Amino acid sequence: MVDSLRIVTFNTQLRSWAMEAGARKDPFFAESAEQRAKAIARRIINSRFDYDIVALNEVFDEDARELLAGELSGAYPNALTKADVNYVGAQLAGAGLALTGSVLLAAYGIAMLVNTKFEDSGLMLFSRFPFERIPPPAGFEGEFPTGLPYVFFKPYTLAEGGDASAAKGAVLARILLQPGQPCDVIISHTQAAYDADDEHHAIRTTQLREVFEMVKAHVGLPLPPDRELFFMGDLNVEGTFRLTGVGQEWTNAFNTPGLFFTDAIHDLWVHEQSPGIPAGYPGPWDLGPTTADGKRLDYILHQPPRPDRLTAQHLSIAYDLTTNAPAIDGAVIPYTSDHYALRADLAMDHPHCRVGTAFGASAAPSFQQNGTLRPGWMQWYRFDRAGTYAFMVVGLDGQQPRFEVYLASNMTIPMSQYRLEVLPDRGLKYVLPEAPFFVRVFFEDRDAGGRYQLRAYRYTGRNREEAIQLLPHVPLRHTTSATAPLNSDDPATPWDEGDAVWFCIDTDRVDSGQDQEVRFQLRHLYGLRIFNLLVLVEDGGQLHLLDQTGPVDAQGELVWATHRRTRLYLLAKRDDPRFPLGHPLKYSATDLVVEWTTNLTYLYGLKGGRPGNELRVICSDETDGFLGSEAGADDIKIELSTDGLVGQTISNDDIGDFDEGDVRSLEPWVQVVRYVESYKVELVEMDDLSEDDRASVTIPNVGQVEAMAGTFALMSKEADGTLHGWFQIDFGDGKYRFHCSLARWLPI
Amino acid sequence: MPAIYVSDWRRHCVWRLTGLGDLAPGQLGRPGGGVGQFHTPCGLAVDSLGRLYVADRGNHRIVRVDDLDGSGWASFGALGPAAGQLRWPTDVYLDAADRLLIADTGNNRIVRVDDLDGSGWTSYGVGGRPTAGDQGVGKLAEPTGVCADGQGRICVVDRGNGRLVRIDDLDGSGWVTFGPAAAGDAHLDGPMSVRPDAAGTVVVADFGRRRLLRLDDLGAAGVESIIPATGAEPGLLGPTCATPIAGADGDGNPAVHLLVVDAPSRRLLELARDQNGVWALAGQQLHVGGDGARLYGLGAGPA
Repeated sequence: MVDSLRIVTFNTQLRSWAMEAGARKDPFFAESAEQRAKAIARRIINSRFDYDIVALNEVFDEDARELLAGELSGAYPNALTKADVNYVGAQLAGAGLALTGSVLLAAYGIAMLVNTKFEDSGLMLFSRFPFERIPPPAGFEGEFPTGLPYVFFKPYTLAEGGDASAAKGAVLARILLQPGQPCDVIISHTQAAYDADDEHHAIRTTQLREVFEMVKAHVGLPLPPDRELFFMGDLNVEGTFRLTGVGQEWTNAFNTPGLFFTDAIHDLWVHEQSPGIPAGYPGPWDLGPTTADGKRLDYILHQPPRPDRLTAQHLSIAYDLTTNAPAIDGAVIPYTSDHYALRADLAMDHPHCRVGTAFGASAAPSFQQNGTLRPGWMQWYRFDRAGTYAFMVVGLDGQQPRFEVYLASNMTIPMSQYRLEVLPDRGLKYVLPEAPFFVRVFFEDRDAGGRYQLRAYRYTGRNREEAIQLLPHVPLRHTTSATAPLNSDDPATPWDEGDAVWFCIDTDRVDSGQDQEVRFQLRHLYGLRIFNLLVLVEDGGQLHLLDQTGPVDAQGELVWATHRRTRLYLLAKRDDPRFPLGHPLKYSATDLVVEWTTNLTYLYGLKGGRPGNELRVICSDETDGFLGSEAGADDIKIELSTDGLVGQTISNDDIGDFDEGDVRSLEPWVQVVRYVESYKVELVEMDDLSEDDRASVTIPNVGQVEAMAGTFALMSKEADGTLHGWFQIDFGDGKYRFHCSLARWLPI
Repeated sequence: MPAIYVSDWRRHCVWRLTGLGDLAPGQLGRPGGGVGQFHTPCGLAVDSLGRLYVADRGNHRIVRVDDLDGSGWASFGALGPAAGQLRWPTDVYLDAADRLLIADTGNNRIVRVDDLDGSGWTSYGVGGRPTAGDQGVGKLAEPTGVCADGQGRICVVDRGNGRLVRIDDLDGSGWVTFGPAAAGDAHLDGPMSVRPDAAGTVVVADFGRRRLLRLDDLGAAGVESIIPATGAEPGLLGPTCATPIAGADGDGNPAVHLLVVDAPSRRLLELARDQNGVWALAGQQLHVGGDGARLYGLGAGPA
């Protein structure tokens, strides 16, 4: 049995020139389909994810199709290269096969349909594994001596709007994972909604019904228990239900007991990846958006887990296929699609192999657990307490596994090790701002396996090395231990730091050179004046007492400013002289609250070391010509200013022209911005015939952003105040969106 | 039916068909900037001698050939803003005296020359836009189409300004416009070309609104917005050029038909009025150039 399977579905937005020209009202727009197809092909081949099956939607451009078929044929010798109402193109072991009229009729029972569509289905499917073969029909034995692939295309009976110009439908391909282990893969791109999320939902319902009929005819019901069935693609059912709660269409389609698409196969993201939704919504769970504007339209459906079948260990968004990649032929590719790819890493079902069955780690400061991984397997661990941790995984059989740490709110982008710090003998330092969070243990090498031990340790604050990392603007309540000093005085320090709890914070440089201002506060939860606050600065590895105050009662505060990347330690020190041995408050357990604040804001995207919203600009409404004409693209350049200083210009040659709906990633030019006052994004619409039009947004400190009603749209918010969303940039006769994330700290 | 020429700017060539049933059209041109080569050929015209003129947009020139074999190759223009120079010319038309009218798109002007030697150079237009208080007389924004109507007046597709302009001559006299407008028939959205028909009207290919516009005059009267009845066949997806040809009505009487390039569907269609006076598909439609085609201009000449 194949023990591991990795699949991906991607709406590539490789629309044909005809489609784009019609939508843009301009036949001479700058075409990019071939270049993007080349980028997509290379990214698929070079992906460390090592895909076995690749399903592509919206490949309508014929040159892009040929390019993809050619570039991917080496890695994926078995492919469906074209599916149309009267034509199926395939590759078998790298050799091309064109199936038309009489063959389709004889072999598949497909009547020769008159093709009235301008475009084919836009579907492509690539596989490392061979297709199951069916015998050649009578009269075609000589032409197809080794048989025909089990690849069936069913055109949908209904489509509306632009979709009506294409041969929308579903492909069912039977893939042999190995002899005797067939796997049915259905791919489709169902009816689009153009203006409102639920537009044309009745057509999608009909199309899903036709997929069901296809399964009934080709696979049989009930589904054979030992055969895998996947249904994937851009199904155009909005599944994030962020703003309006659980969507009725999603519920009707994928979450109604008794229905095939709920019971027999189900939406893997919700039912296995983020099991807290929809029942727990709203909650911390990742909603897995797959489009540039934050919707979840792309799906992988598969049977519910059972012991002798493949199970989705991890679903994630394949950002590497859309952005963050090297230039192609010397040119930066600022986007490949308006969708993100959705991928699944599957393995034979085993304990703790997915988020929903993660091993519950204990709350004690120290945790360790042994496990065994077979090739392609992973193990998940769930932690329910936020904090500062050290993790280490040790291979027990010679091979070294890896681990990654994920917040429940984002199961794609792991948290980075905190500033590359290590706690000796304990492992790599991580600062986790919210719980639950998950640790995934796996081998980078898919063919590797063996035993391992995971070790986790939560920082206690008992000495400098174990200082608890404080997150800005997040008050930390700390309960001191009883019956003993909180720590022992270190003779190396030139002051008495005995019976204290160690906390630490990190400042950063500001891009504009201005000072970062920080404030520290300490208070006893019940107002007792029993703690002093000491602030120490680290310089050349040595600690110096910067300031102190106390004993504090309701609140003690210190202020400091710096323009450097510096570590500060905060010590909450019990006021020993007032509590001699025998005093009831000496070594008693008590609660203190410590907090620091800053005026520094980080603006970031996918490279911030923690979950982020890709930095991108989307044209939501192209600027008008005179009296509303939108013919011709917007020639946009982008000027970026930090704290009033223009620091970066992205030229029109680099970013390209914008038509309505166009998406451009800024990740090639902008990674992390640090500012204290504001960050300004100005779009300049260059016009040969009149003054340049300018529109901008000035983004203030992260704490003030949510008050920007009408300008800022919140997509999600984390427990530490980190915001993910977009800002509107309004030309008056046109609108753009600038997507980003804003935080007060980053782990990098 | 006359010989039909269609430009394909993706393949940098011009196709010649003997009619809409011609499945093996002749072809001229390969990519490049030399003799026998085109770069993004767009507007086409045929003179009284049957010679073909091509607005060779990407080479910033107008090309003339005697035949599809490339014989008699001659060209006019080079990149620039000065007299004798062109920038992204998108259309060419021959007036009644066989003088060339050129939509010099990138220079925001219309050019007239007597011949390909550049003699008689006259131009009209400067780049600009109308505003709320200024009708923008004499201002053009990337004009893509030009022709002379039945009275010798010059009609210009002022594409960037969303309007059709008519002037009596290249001195700008008699300036009138149709559009721009925010809505209604006069709302042109990415119009590409204009051609006169035999009845003295002009036909505009309004690409963005997926329609043709037939104008008796540039005033409000005689405006006909044509979205043809196509039955089970797809309608217009984006016409780039429409030119009248002589046809017949259902009773065999002479009638104007329209030959249309619908670029997104890569089709050449013939339209005629049905018995109810509604423009509809007449006869065949032809897919030209295959999946990769980028059809644009249309010329009709002697068979």
